[in-house]
Amino acid sequence: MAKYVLKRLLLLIPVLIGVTFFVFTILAVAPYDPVTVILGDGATEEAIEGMREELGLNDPLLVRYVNYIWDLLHGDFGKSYKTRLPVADQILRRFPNTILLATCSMVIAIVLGIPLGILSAKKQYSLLDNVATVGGLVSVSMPNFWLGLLLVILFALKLRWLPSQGMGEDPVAILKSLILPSITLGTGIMASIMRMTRSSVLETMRQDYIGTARAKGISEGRVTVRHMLKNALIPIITISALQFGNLLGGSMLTETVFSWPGVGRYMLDAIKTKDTPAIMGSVILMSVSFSIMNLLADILYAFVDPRIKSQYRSARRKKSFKGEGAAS
Amino acid sequence: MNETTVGKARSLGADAWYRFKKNRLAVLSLIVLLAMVLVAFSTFVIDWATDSSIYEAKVITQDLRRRLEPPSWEHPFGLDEFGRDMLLRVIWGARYSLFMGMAAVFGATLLGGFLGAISGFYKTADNIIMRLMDILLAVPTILLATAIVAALGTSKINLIIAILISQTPTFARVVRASVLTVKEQEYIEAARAMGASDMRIILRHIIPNSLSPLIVQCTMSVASAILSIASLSFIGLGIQAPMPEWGAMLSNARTYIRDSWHITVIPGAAIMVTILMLNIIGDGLRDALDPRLKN
Repeated sequence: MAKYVLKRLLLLIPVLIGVTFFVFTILAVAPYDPVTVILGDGATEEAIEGMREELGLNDPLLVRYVNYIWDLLHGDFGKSYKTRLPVADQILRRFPNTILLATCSMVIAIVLGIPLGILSAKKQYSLLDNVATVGGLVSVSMPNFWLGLLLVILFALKLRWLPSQGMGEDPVAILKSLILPSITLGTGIMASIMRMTRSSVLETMRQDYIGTARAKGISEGRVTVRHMLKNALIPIITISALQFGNLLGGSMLTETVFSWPGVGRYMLDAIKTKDTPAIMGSVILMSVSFSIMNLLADILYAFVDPRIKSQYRSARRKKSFKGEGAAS
Repeated sequence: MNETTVGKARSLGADAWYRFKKNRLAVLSLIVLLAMVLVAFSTFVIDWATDSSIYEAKVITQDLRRRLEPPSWEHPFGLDEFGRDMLLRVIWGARYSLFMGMAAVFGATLLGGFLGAISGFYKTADNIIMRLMDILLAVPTILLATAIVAALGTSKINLIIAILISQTPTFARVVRASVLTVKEQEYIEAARAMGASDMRIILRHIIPNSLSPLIVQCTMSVASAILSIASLSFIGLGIQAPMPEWGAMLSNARTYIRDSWHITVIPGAAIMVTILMLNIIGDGLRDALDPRLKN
């Protein structure tokens, strides 16, 4: 198992090098001059040349990339073109907010999605199942940012229950400001978790061991939780980890709608001001967290499924068995 | 897929269509979607016939005295923040979402399909191509598209290119997977024994036999491309005002969200309905094309 994890971690390195190189290159060849972004249009020839030298823009692309990665590995994301502040501080101050929002959305999605999926599966083709299926399809098809705007209209502007913008200061206010964006991001994920739970439970329901468990006289609740859900859980865990990664790297629209101070909104602001180091830093951070979550999904999958785990274990046992045989 | 088969045998296409027809929800969605495509296409015809005069007068020209008027019999979707008819703007906006989404997915299918077929067929190319695709897949789709548009600058072509690139790896993977399965079949060996060239085997045998997952992926990808176009326009990186793109309309509506609900609800509903139809059709196609579900 440790070998598998290590192998996957090592395979992540070339991918991350590729991602950073790709992002670096497309932003480096972008058809605007960073120097004019910093100095404005009226700068003198001398000032422009000095700035180009200072930013290292006169070096070849590959040299600039290697320098950038070298700094990146030392925790230096460069300085923002606009504010001249270190990008790393700015991003790291906002990243916890993105994680907080993603976590809350996931909690909503899982807490509602799994029970709804189980109910749908157990009462297949009932009214509840049909409503849940149609509702799921609709919420998967809804653009997140539109759902966010609708929630703002209803709960913030008409009913005035919750704030529509920003992040509160004290814990209660933070919690209140988290509700609408979390529902916005959680709804679609809830629907996909529900769908996955439904089909997964439907599959395990037909297994022989469910009949055995019932025949033994185990209560229905226990059969559902201990026998059906536990075995149906594997794909649900995988999809949850993948969706969490998606939230870390793709919630900038919702962050914009709710003025949530996260990395995604920081990146979009940076795009508007053509602030290349800030764009690059945020894209790289979001992609790295997305990739790590994808990796975690794979590892979890191998870890939770005893059938996969036993492959590794039995291979080892066979080996040691052989060893003993040779010794005797 | 020959006409010479005996009895009531159907081709894969006819068979899938037969099963697709039984799914009433999917058929209804297909009809709605085709109607939308037809309406969106007719806007081109109207623009061409009237030299864009209707477009200029009704869709672009502002009438500030009647701004934000709620839905009425005269204007069923109401008027927007500049007093323009929302129904006409939604209709004229359909062409951006539908046709640009389709164009991007068409490009991604060709490019991704090509790369996937090659890497499924040739071992040496496989490693290089799939590692490149892994790199693109390591960035969330919408983030990748945003970064590309941010770098290239905003224009319709760049928007299509960005979405095309961000969708390509999915197609490469789907095609590669089915090529790998089809490649091992006996009829490929038979074709090779008869002296068919690699190109002929790929074009005549492998591609037709790996079409099913590709078709399903296309439908789903158009939905995701439409969402990307709307998203990028919403954050100001896609289609720009005053063009009536749905995401751009939502972006403008945000400013007036306190005054009026209909300009927020309607463009978003248009996006949602389009994506919903495509998702239902995609699900229906998947079931119809899955040979395991054959009775």
